[in-house]
Amino acid sequence: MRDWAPRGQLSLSVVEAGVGVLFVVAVASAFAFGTPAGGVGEQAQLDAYAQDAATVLANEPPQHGDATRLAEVAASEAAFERERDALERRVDRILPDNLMFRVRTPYGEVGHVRPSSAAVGVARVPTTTGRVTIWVWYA
Amino acid sequence: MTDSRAVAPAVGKALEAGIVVLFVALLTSALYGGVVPNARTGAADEVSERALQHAAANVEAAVPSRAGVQVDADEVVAERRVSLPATIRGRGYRITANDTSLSLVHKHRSVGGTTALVLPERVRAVRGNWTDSEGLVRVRAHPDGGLVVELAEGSA
Amino acid sequence: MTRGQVNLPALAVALLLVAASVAAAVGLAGSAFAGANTDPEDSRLAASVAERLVAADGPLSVRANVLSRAAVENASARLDGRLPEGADLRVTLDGDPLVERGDPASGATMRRVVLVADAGRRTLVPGFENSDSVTLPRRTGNATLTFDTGAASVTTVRANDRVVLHDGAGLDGAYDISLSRYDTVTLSFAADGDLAPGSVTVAYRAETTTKAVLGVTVNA
Repeated sequence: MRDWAPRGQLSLSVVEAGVGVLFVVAVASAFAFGTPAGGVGEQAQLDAYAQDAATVLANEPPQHGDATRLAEVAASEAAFERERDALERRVDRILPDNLMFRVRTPYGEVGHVRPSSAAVGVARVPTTTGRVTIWVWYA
Repeated sequence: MTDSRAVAPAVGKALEAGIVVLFVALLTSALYGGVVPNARTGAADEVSERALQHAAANVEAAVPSRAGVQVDADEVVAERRVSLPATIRGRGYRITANDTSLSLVHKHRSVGGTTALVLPERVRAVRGNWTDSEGLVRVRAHPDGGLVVELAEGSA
Repeated sequence: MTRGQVNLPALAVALLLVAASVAAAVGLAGSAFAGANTDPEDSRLAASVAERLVAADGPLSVRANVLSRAAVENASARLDGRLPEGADLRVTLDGDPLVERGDPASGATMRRVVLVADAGRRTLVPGFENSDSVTLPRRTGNATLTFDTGAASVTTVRANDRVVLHDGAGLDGAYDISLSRYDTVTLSFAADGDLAPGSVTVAYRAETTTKAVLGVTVNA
């Protein structure tokens, strides 16, 4: 007669149950990582900011000549060089302080470097000489 | 000594197997009886709400923002395609327009809803419904001025 | 001690463990569902109302992304009936609430950048000392010219070389002319005599714009 307490056998059922619990936990972990946050999406908000900046620039009287400020800065290379600082200051004033921007015209770009790993809003405006693109992102 | 002996291993294993099968059957019936249908309904509710909002956003985006050029009465000013889920909870559904709101109608009573449409004053009426997975928003000019928005089937 | 079925209690414990983990997983799924309810209606309504207010034909707008100061001060009357029913909402300009209905604290917020335009009326009376023309110091979309000429009468008025008024018999009274908002305009007057200072009065609206952030918060 042996006493089975110290010399017990690992019951196979417990091992099987352990494996079963592991499967169930693996499925449950799919829920545990959470879901995306609600509210207005970051991308939608940034796209709206970029579109607003583009609309304001496209409907503004220019500094010197030409139809609008946007048309003026995209008219020629010389015009771009002359206007680029004013353009950068104007976009900086229009957009809220927590945003950074980049404006690309057919003759050059002004603004900060676009980040590669953050959400970026974009707006494109066609002009007679090409397309002007504005990117906006949170600083 | 014999009456305190355990059952033969084969019978023991058969007993275990029987208990496990019973357990699985119990668990499956418990899950499929309550938990799974509730989860499907919850998921269907979420999907229907998102589909409705997607449809409403597309109807609003289809209306052009300027008065635009003068067009003849009943001429189509703008068209926009909207893609919707084919079925919700395994069944078809209908999206109906009612001038200032859009509703999703589904046979299951807790799936569906109504939402408001934000449209310019120029839009006189919104009518029509979608039953397909491809919908079309058609904006027409009304003879007395203003616009009329129609929901039509995309495959038509 | 009898050597009972060692396996059966172990089996029972094992099955209990599995049942408990399934119950825990179902509970976790329920809480995940509750978290996944991101309420898309709030964000869609906020975005739509913001788009409507900012559009060129919006209830407060002068043109695209430009609101009129007078309309903004009278916002609750202008927006009455234009906002979606059945939802708590708040429209703010630079943080100050314009329209508030209910308590939309936990809803979605959409922000747009706008300009608020103040239209002030200005009058310019040119003294025709050196030339028969006057340059308006601000850009404006239209102007009202009032002629009160004595001996000499003005026959033609040009805005930047474009004829805007012409009357061979002489212009008399008040006329509205439209101008280009994007150009600085020089009005030149052709008259059949010397123009006395004060014979023409130019009244125009000069618009000053200030930037602002329009916020719409909705909790449906």
